[in-house]
Amino acid sequence: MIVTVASFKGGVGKTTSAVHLAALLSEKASTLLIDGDPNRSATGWSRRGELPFKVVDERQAARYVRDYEHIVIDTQARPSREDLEALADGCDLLILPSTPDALALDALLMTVEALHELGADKYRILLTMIPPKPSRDGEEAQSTLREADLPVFDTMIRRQIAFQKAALAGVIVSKAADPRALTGWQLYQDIAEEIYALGVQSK
Amino acid sequence: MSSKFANLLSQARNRPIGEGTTEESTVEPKVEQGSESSNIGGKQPLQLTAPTPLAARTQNNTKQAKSSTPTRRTAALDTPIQTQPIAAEISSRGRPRTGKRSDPNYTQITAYITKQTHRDVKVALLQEGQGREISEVVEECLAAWLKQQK
Ligand SMILES: Nc1ncnc2c1ncn2[C@@H]1O[C@H](COP(=O)(O)OP(=O)(O)O)[C@@H](O)[C@H]1O
Ligand SMILES: [Mg+2]
Repeated sequence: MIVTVASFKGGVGKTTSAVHLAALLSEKASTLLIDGDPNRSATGWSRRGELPFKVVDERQAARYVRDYEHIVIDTQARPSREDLEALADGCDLLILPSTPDALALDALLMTVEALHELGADKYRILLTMIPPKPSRDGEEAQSTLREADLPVFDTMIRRQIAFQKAALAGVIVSKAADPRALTGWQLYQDIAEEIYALGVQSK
Repeated sequence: MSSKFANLLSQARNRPIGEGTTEESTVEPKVEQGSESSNIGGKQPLQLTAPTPLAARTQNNTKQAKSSTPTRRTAALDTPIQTQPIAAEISSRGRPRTGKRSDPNYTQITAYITKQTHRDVKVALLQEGQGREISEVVEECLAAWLKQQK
Protein backbone atom coordinates (compact mmCIF):
# COMPACT_ATOMS: atom_id res chain seq x y z
CA MET A 1 0.00 0.00 0.00
CA ILE A 2 1.28 3.48 -0.79
CA VAL A 3 -0.02 6.14 1.56
CA THR A 4 0.80 9.83 1.28
CA VAL A 5 0.27 12.41 4.01
CA ALA A 6 -0.21 15.93 2.67
CA SER A 7 -1.62 19.35 3.49
CA PHE A 8 -1.37 22.95 2.39
CA LYS A 9 -0.64 24.01 5.91
CA GLY A 10 2.37 23.27 8.09
CA GLY A 11 2.17 22.10 11.66
CA VAL A 12 -1.01 20.09 11.29
CA GLY A 13 0.48 16.73 12.21
CA LYS A 14 1.64 15.41 8.84
CA THR A 15 4.97 14.09 10.01
CA THR A 16 3.54 12.77 13.27
CA SER A 17 0.85 10.93 11.34
CA ALA A 18 3.26 9.60 8.72
CA VAL A 19 5.60 8.26 11.40
CA HIS A 20 2.85 6.53 13.36
CA LEU A 21 1.11 5.08 10.34
CA ALA A 22 4.42 3.74 9.09
CA ALA A 23 5.01 2.20 12.51
CA LEU A 24 1.63 0.49 12.41
CA LEU A 25 1.98 -0.72 8.83
CA SER A 26 5.42 -2.08 9.66
CA GLU A 27 3.78 -4.44 12.12
CA LYS A 28 2.10 -6.13 9.15
CA ALA A 29 4.73 -5.97 6.42
CA SER A 30 7.99 -4.25 5.50
CA THR A 31 7.43 -0.51 5.44
CA LEU A 32 9.44 2.40 4.10
CA LEU A 33 8.86 6.02 5.08
CA ILE A 34 9.85 8.47 2.37
CA ASP A 35 10.66 11.87 3.81
CA GLY A 36 9.59 14.20 1.02
CA ASP A 37 9.86 17.39 3.08
CA PRO A 38 13.05 19.42 2.52
CA ASN A 39 12.95 20.20 6.24
CA ARG A 40 13.61 16.51 6.79
CA SER A 41 11.55 16.34 9.99
CA ALA A 42 10.94 12.62 9.71
CA THR A 43 14.61 11.97 9.01
CA GLY A 44 15.54 14.04 12.05
CA TRP A 45 13.02 12.15 14.15
CA SER A 46 14.50 8.81 13.19
CA ARG A 47 18.06 9.98 13.77
CA ARG A 48 17.37 11.23 17.26
CA GLY A 49 16.36 7.78 18.35
CA GLU A 50 15.05 4.69 16.75
CA LEU A 51 12.00 4.03 14.64
CA PRO A 52 10.79 0.56 13.73
CA PHE A 53 11.02 1.19 9.97
CA LYS A 54 13.44 2.68 7.48
CA VAL A 55 13.32 6.39 6.64
CA VAL A 56 14.87 7.72 3.44
CA ASP A 57 14.49 10.98 1.58
CA GLU A 58 12.85 11.08 -1.82
CA ARG A 59 16.18 11.21 -3.64
CA GLN A 60 17.45 8.01 -2.06
CA ALA A 61 14.07 6.33 -2.26
CA ALA A 62 14.33 4.98 -5.80
CA ARG A 63 16.84 2.43 -4.60
CA TYR A 64 14.47 1.13 -1.94
CA VAL A 65 10.89 1.33 -3.11
CA ARG A 66 10.90 -2.05 -4.78
CA ASP A 67 11.85 -3.85 -1.62
CA TYR A 68 9.01 -2.67 0.55
CA GLU A 69 5.41 -3.74 0.76
CA HIS A 70 4.14 -0.53 2.29
CA ILE A 71 5.31 2.96 1.53
CA VAL A 72 4.35 6.04 3.49
CA ILE A 73 5.26 9.42 2.04
CA ASP A 74 5.57 12.49 4.24
CA THR A 75 5.44 15.76 2.32
CA GLN A 76 6.11 19.45 2.81
CA ALA A 77 3.30 21.90 3.37
CA ARG A 78 1.92 23.55 0.25
CA PRO A 79 2.76 20.86 -2.27
CA SER A 80 3.26 22.11 -5.79
CA ARG A 81 0.52 21.30 -8.24
CA GLU A 82 2.85 18.81 -9.92
CA ASP A 83 3.59 17.03 -6.66
CA LEU A 84 -0.03 16.90 -5.63
CA GLU A 85 -0.97 15.54 -9.01
CA ALA A 86 1.74 12.91 -8.99
CA LEU A 87 0.87 11.88 -5.45
CA ALA A 88 -2.87 11.82 -5.94
CA ASP A 89 -2.40 9.73 -9.01
CA GLY A 90 0.28 7.42 -7.73
CA CYS A 91 -0.71 6.50 -4.22
CA ASP A 92 -3.45 4.28 -2.89
CA LEU A 93 -4.62 6.65 -0.20
CA LEU A 94 -3.99 10.31 0.47
CA ILE A 95 -4.35 11.34 4.09
CA LEU A 96 -5.01 15.01 4.73
CA PRO A 97 -4.42 15.96 8.34
CA SER A 98 -5.93 19.14 9.67
CA THR A 99 -6.25 20.74 13.05
CA PRO A 100 -9.81 21.78 13.88
CA ASP A 101 -9.25 25.55 13.71
CA ALA A 102 -10.66 27.82 11.04
CA LEU A 103 -7.40 28.64 9.31
CA ALA A 104 -6.35 25.03 8.98
CA LEU A 105 -9.81 24.01 7.80
CA ASP A 106 -9.72 26.73 5.17
CA ALA A 107 -6.42 25.41 3.90
CA LEU A 108 -7.86 21.92 4.00
CA LEU A 109 -10.77 22.93 1.83
CA MET A 110 -8.35 24.36 -0.72
CA THR A 111 -6.48 21.07 -0.78
CA VAL A 112 -9.73 19.20 -1.25
CA GLU A 113 -10.77 21.53 -4.04
CA ALA A 114 -7.45 21.05 -5.77
CA LEU A 115 -7.84 17.28 -5.48
CA HIS A 116 -11.33 17.39 -6.88
CA GLU A 117 -10.03 19.37 -9.84
CA LEU A 118 -7.46 16.66 -10.38
CA GLY A 119 -10.22 14.10 -10.21
CA ALA A 120 -8.66 12.49 -7.17
CA ASP A 121 -11.03 10.82 -4.75
CA LYS A 122 -8.83 8.46 -2.80
CA TYR A 123 -8.34 10.76 0.13
CA ARG A 124 -9.45 10.97 3.71
CA ILE A 125 -9.29 13.80 6.20
CA LEU A 126 -7.64 13.19 9.56
CA LEU A 127 -8.44 15.64 12.33
CA THR A 128 -5.45 16.06 14.64
CA MET A 129 -4.37 17.92 17.77
CA ILE A 130 -7.92 18.01 19.04
CA PRO A 131 -8.04 20.07 22.23
CA PRO A 132 -9.30 18.29 25.34
CA LYS A 133 -12.80 18.65 26.72
CA PRO A 134 -14.72 20.79 27.37
CA SER A 135 -13.66 22.06 23.95
CA ARG A 136 -15.88 20.68 21.22
CA ASP A 137 -13.69 21.91 18.37
CA GLY A 138 -12.98 18.38 17.18
CA GLU A 139 -16.59 17.23 17.08
CA GLU A 140 -17.68 20.46 15.45
CA ALA A 141 -15.03 20.30 12.75
CA GLN A 142 -15.91 16.69 12.11
CA SER A 143 -19.60 17.32 11.70
CA THR A 144 -18.98 20.36 9.51
CA LEU A 145 -16.83 18.23 7.20
CA ARG A 146 -19.39 15.44 7.22
CA GLU A 147 -22.16 17.87 6.34
CA ALA A 148 -20.07 18.97 3.39
CA ASP A 149 -19.95 15.29 2.40
CA LEU A 150 -16.21 15.07 2.80
CA PRO A 151 -14.58 11.79 3.81
CA VAL A 152 -13.20 12.08 7.31
CA PHE A 153 -11.83 9.44 9.66
CA ASP A 154 -14.08 8.63 12.63
CA THR A 155 -11.06 8.64 14.90
CA MET A 156 -9.60 12.02 15.79
CA ILE A 157 -6.09 12.41 17.17
CA ARG A 158 -6.17 14.23 20.48
CA ARG A 159 -3.65 16.88 21.40
CA GLN A 160 -1.23 15.19 23.76
CA ILE A 161 2.20 16.20 24.93
CA ALA A 162 3.26 12.58 24.53
CA PHE A 163 3.50 13.17 20.77
CA GLN A 164 5.98 16.00 21.22
CA LYS A 165 8.01 13.97 23.67
CA ALA A 166 8.08 11.12 21.20
CA ALA A 167 9.36 13.38 18.43
CA LEU A 168 12.07 14.79 20.67
CA ALA A 169 13.19 11.36 21.79
CA GLY A 170 13.08 9.94 18.30
CA VAL A 171 10.61 7.20 19.14
CA ILE A 172 7.00 6.39 18.43
CA VAL A 173 4.48 7.64 20.94
CA SER A 174 3.98 4.28 22.63
CA LYS A 175 7.62 4.47 23.73
CA ALA A 176 7.46 8.06 24.97
CA ALA A 177 8.03 8.68 28.65
CA ASP A 178 4.55 9.98 29.31
CA PRO A 179 1.54 8.60 31.16
CA ARG A 180 -0.64 9.14 28.08
CA ALA A 181 1.75 7.43 25.69
CA LEU A 182 -0.52 4.47 25.09
CA THR A 183 -3.66 6.54 24.62
CA GLY A 184 -1.97 8.38 21.78
CA TRP A 185 -0.79 5.13 20.24
CA GLN A 186 -4.30 3.67 20.47
CA LEU A 187 -5.66 6.57 18.42
CA TYR A 188 -3.32 5.86 15.52
CA GLN A 189 -4.07 2.16 15.88
CA ASP A 190 -7.72 3.01 15.38
CA ILE A 191 -6.85 5.04 12.29
CA ALA A 192 -4.91 2.08 10.90
CA GLU A 193 -7.94 -0.14 11.49
CA GLU A 194 -10.09 2.35 9.62
CA ILE A 195 -7.61 2.28 6.75
CA TYR A 196 -7.68 -1.51 6.57
CA ALA A 197 -11.45 -1.39 6.72
CA LEU A 198 -11.49 0.91 3.69
CA GLY A 199 -10.17 -2.06 1.79
CA VAL A 200 -7.54 0.02 0.05
CA GLN A 201 -6.11 -2.06 -2.74
CA SER A 202 -2.50 -1.77 -3.64
CA LYS A 203 -1.89 -0.96 -7.21
CA MET B 1 5.27 16.89 -15.11
CA SER B 2 8.19 17.87 -12.99
CA SER B 3 7.27 16.32 -9.69
CA LYS B 4 10.08 14.70 -7.78
CA PHE B 5 7.58 12.00 -6.84
CA ALA B 6 6.34 11.02 -10.27
CA ASN B 7 9.22 8.73 -11.16
CA LEU B 8 9.41 7.32 -7.70
CA LEU B 9 5.77 6.41 -7.61
CA SER B 10 5.80 4.71 -10.95
CA GLN B 11 8.79 2.69 -9.81
CA ALA B 12 7.04 1.85 -6.60
CA ARG B 13 3.97 0.71 -8.45
CA ASN B 14 5.91 -1.55 -10.73
CA ARG B 15 7.62 -3.28 -7.89
CA PRO B 16 6.79 -6.89 -7.16
CA ILE B 17 3.96 -6.73 -4.72
CA GLY B 18 2.89 -9.30 -2.20
CA GLU B 19 6.18 -11.10 -1.91
CA GLY B 20 6.40 -12.81 1.43
CA THR B 21 2.93 -11.83 2.50
CA THR B 22 -0.33 -13.64 2.30
CA GLU B 23 -2.39 -10.53 1.68
CA GLU B 24 -3.65 -10.66 -1.84
CA SER B 25 -3.46 -7.51 -3.82
CA THR B 26 -4.66 -6.81 -7.28
CA VAL B 27 -1.95 -5.37 -9.41
CA GLU B 28 -3.61 -2.95 -11.70
CA PRO B 29 -0.96 -0.85 -13.36
CA LYS B 30 -2.45 2.50 -14.10
CA VAL B 31 -1.36 4.42 -17.13
CA GLU B 32 0.63 7.51 -16.27
CA GLN B 33 -1.52 10.41 -17.32
CA GLY B 34 1.09 13.02 -17.94
CA SER B 35 0.07 16.54 -17.15
CA GLU B 36 -2.53 17.18 -19.78
CA SER B 37 -5.25 17.61 -17.24
CA SER B 38 -8.07 19.92 -18.10
CA ASN B 39 -7.50 22.38 -15.32
CA ILE B 40 -4.48 24.09 -16.77
CA GLY B 41 -5.31 27.71 -17.14
CA GLY B 42 -8.18 27.29 -14.73
CA LYS B 43 -8.02 28.75 -11.30
CA GLN B 44 -5.02 27.80 -9.29
CA PRO B 45 -6.06 26.97 -5.77
CA LEU B 46 -2.50 25.87 -5.08
CA GLN B 47 -1.34 29.46 -4.86
CA LEU B 48 -2.13 30.62 -1.39
CA THR B 49 -1.78 34.33 -1.31
CA ALA B 50 -2.11 34.78 2.40
CA PRO B 51 0.81 33.70 4.52
CA THR B 52 0.02 30.49 6.33
CA PRO B 53 2.77 29.99 8.86
CA LEU B 54 0.82 31.38 11.81
CA ALA B 55 -0.61 28.19 13.18
CA ALA B 56 2.56 26.34 12.37
CA ARG B 57 3.88 27.82 15.55
CA THR B 58 0.81 28.16 17.67
CA GLN B 59 1.18 29.26 21.24
CA ASN B 60 0.22 25.89 22.55
CA ASN B 61 2.80 23.98 20.65
CA THR B 62 5.62 26.23 21.70
CA LYS B 63 4.50 26.15 25.28
CA GLN B 64 4.24 22.40 25.42
CA ALA B 65 7.46 21.77 23.64
CA LYS B 66 9.31 24.01 26.06
CA SER B 67 7.79 22.63 29.20
CA SER B 68 8.20 18.98 28.39
CA THR B 69 10.97 17.44 30.41
CA PRO B 70 14.03 16.76 28.35
CA THR B 71 14.66 13.08 27.94
CA ARG B 72 18.03 11.45 28.02
CA ARG B 73 18.20 11.75 24.27
CA THR B 74 17.76 15.48 24.17
CA ALA B 75 21.51 15.94 24.13
CA ALA B 76 21.47 14.48 20.68
CA LEU B 77 19.37 17.41 19.57
CA ASP B 78 22.26 19.74 20.13
CA THR B 79 24.52 17.82 17.86
CA PRO B 80 24.04 18.13 14.15
CA ILE B 81 21.77 15.38 12.99
CA GLN B 82 22.08 15.93 9.30
CA THR B 83 24.74 14.43 7.12
CA GLN B 84 26.43 16.53 4.50
CA PRO B 85 24.14 16.01 1.51
CA ILE B 86 21.01 16.60 3.51
CA ALA B 87 22.37 19.73 5.12
CA ALA B 88 23.19 20.97 1.66
CA GLU B 89 19.67 20.15 0.59
CA ILE B 90 18.25 22.19 3.40
CA SER B 91 20.36 25.22 2.73
CA SER B 92 19.46 25.17 -0.91
CA ARG B 93 15.79 24.30 -0.70
CA GLY B 94 14.58 24.91 2.84
CA ARG B 95 13.56 28.10 4.55
CA PRO B 96 15.64 30.94 3.15
CA ARG B 97 18.02 32.31 5.75
CA THR B 98 16.62 35.77 5.36
CA GLY B 99 13.88 35.61 7.98
CA LYS B 100 13.75 37.05 11.46
CA ARG B 101 14.76 33.70 12.86
CA SER B 102 18.21 34.08 11.34
CA ASP B 103 18.47 37.82 11.82
CA PRO B 104 20.77 38.71 14.75
CA ASN B 105 18.75 41.89 15.37
CA TYR B 106 15.70 39.88 16.26
CA THR B 107 14.90 37.71 19.22
CA GLN B 108 12.05 35.34 19.83
CA ILE B 109 9.76 35.90 22.80
CA THR B 110 6.88 33.95 24.24
CA ALA B 111 3.86 35.79 25.53
CA TYR B 112 0.41 34.71 26.60
CA ILE B 113 -2.54 36.39 25.00
CA THR B 114 -6.13 35.27 24.98
CA LYS B 115 -7.15 32.86 22.27
CA GLN B 116 -9.83 35.29 21.22
CA THR B 117 -7.30 38.07 20.61
CA HIS B 118 -5.01 35.67 18.80
CA ARG B 119 -7.82 34.57 16.54
CA ASP B 120 -8.99 38.12 15.90
CA VAL B 121 -5.48 39.25 15.04
CA LYS B 122 -5.01 36.42 12.57
CA VAL B 123 -8.30 37.22 10.90
CA ALA B 124 -7.52 40.95 10.77
CA LEU B 125 -4.13 40.24 9.22
CA LEU B 126 -5.65 37.99 6.61
CA GLN B 127 -8.22 40.63 5.79
CA GLU B 128 -5.50 43.23 5.55
CA GLY B 129 -4.00 41.00 2.89
CA GLN B 130 -0.49 42.48 3.10
CA GLY B 131 1.15 39.24 4.14
CA ARG B 132 2.19 40.78 7.45
CA GLU B 133 2.91 38.51 10.36
CA ILE B 134 1.91 38.79 13.98
CA SER B 135 5.53 39.58 14.84
CA GLU B 136 5.33 42.80 12.93
CA VAL B 137 2.19 43.91 14.73
CA VAL B 138 3.72 43.03 18.08
CA GLU B 139 6.86 45.01 17.24
CA GLU B 140 4.73 47.96 16.18
CA CYS B 141 2.55 47.89 19.29
CA LEU B 142 5.43 47.50 21.72
CA ALA B 143 7.47 50.22 20.07
CA ALA B 144 4.48 52.57 20.25
CA TRP B 145 3.93 51.70 23.89
CA LEU B 146 7.57 52.39 24.71
CA LYS B 147 7.40 55.77 23.06
CA GLN B 148 4.38 56.69 25.07
CA GLN B 149 6.16 55.72 28.31
CA LYS B 150 8.64 58.56 27.86
N1 LIG C 1 -1.65 14.94 18.50
C1 LIG C 1 -0.72 15.85 18.83
N2 LIG C 1 -0.72 16.37 20.07
C2 LIG C 1 0.21 17.29 20.42
N3 LIG C 1 1.19 17.72 19.62
C3 LIG C 1 1.25 17.24 18.37
C4 LIG C 1 0.30 16.28 17.92
N4 LIG C 1 0.61 15.98 16.63
C5 LIG C 1 1.69 16.73 16.32
N5 LIG C 1 2.09 17.48 17.36
C6 LIG C 1 3.18 18.44 17.42
O1 LIG C 1 2.86 19.54 16.59
C7 LIG C 1 3.97 19.98 15.85
C8 LIG C 1 3.70 19.87 14.36
O2 LIG C 1 3.46 18.51 14.03
P1 LIG C 1 4.06 17.83 12.73
O3 LIG C 1 3.65 16.42 12.73
O4 LIG C 1 5.52 18.11 12.61
O5 LIG C 1 3.25 18.64 11.63
P2 LIG C 1 3.59 18.90 10.07
O6 LIG C 1 4.41 17.76 9.60
O7 LIG C 1 2.25 18.99 9.44
O8 LIG C 1 4.33 20.19 10.02
C9 LIG C 1 5.13 19.12 16.32
O9 LIG C 1 5.79 19.82 17.35
C10 LIG C 1 4.47 17.88 16.85
O10 LIG C 1 5.26 17.26 17.86
MG1 LIG D 1 6.26 17.73 8.67
